[in-house]
Amino acid sequence: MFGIVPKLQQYVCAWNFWPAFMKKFIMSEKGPFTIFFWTPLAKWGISIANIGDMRKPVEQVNTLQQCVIAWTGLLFTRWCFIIRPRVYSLVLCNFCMAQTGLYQLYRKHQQGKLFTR
Amino acid sequence: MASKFSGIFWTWVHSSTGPKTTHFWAPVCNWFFPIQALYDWNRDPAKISKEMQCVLVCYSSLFMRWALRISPQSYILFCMHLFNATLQGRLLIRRLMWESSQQKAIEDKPTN
Repeated sequence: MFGIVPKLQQYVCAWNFWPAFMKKFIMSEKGPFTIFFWTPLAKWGISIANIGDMRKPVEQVNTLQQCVIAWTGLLFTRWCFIIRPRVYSLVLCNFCMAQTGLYQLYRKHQQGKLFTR
Repeated sequence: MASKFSGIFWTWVHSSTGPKTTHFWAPVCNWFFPIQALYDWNRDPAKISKEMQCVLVCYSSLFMRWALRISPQSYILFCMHLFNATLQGRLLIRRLMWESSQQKAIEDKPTN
C-alpha cells in the first residue's frame, strides 16, 4: 500500500552474502515478500493447531468448528484437483486439515460428547 | 418458444462455475467459519482454544490480502475473511480476558 514491502525486499536482496538461488527466491513472484508464500503456511497452521489441541481434554474441542474445518478441508482438497495449475502441496495441506478435524470429532464421539457444546 | 430451462438462471446453474460444481461450493463453505463464530457468540471462555483462535485470526488476515492480490480479485472472499478475522478475534479476546480474570482471582485470593 505504501510501497514498504518492495523497498524491504530490495534492501534484503542487496545484502552481499546471499547466494544466487536465494536472491532468485527472495525476488520471485511467490517469494517470502509476497502474500502467496504465507497463505499456505497459514493454512498449515490450522492443522498444526489442531494437532496441538489433541492433547487437550475433549471439552475444549469445539464440535462445530471442527466440522467446518473437516468439511472445508475435504471440499478444498477436491477444488485443488480441479483448478489449473494443480498445486499438490495445497492438496496435502487441505487434506491434513480435514484429517485433523475428523480425528478431533472422532475423539469427541469416543467420549460421547460429540453433541455437547 | 423459449425452453423452461433457458435464461440467465439456468445458464448459471449449468455453467462451469455454477452450483453443480466444486468451484461454487468451496467458497460458500468458507462462510461456515464466520457463521460458526456467530453461533459460538456466548461460548464458555474455558472451552475456547486460544491457539486455534490465534491461527484463525492470522489465517483470515492473510487471506484478506490474498483475496485482493489474486486475479481476478474476489471481494466476497475478502468480506468473508474480514468477518471471520473479526469474529474469531472476538472469541480470542474473550478467552484472554477470562484467563486474565482467572489469574487475578488467584492473586487476590487471601492466603491463610
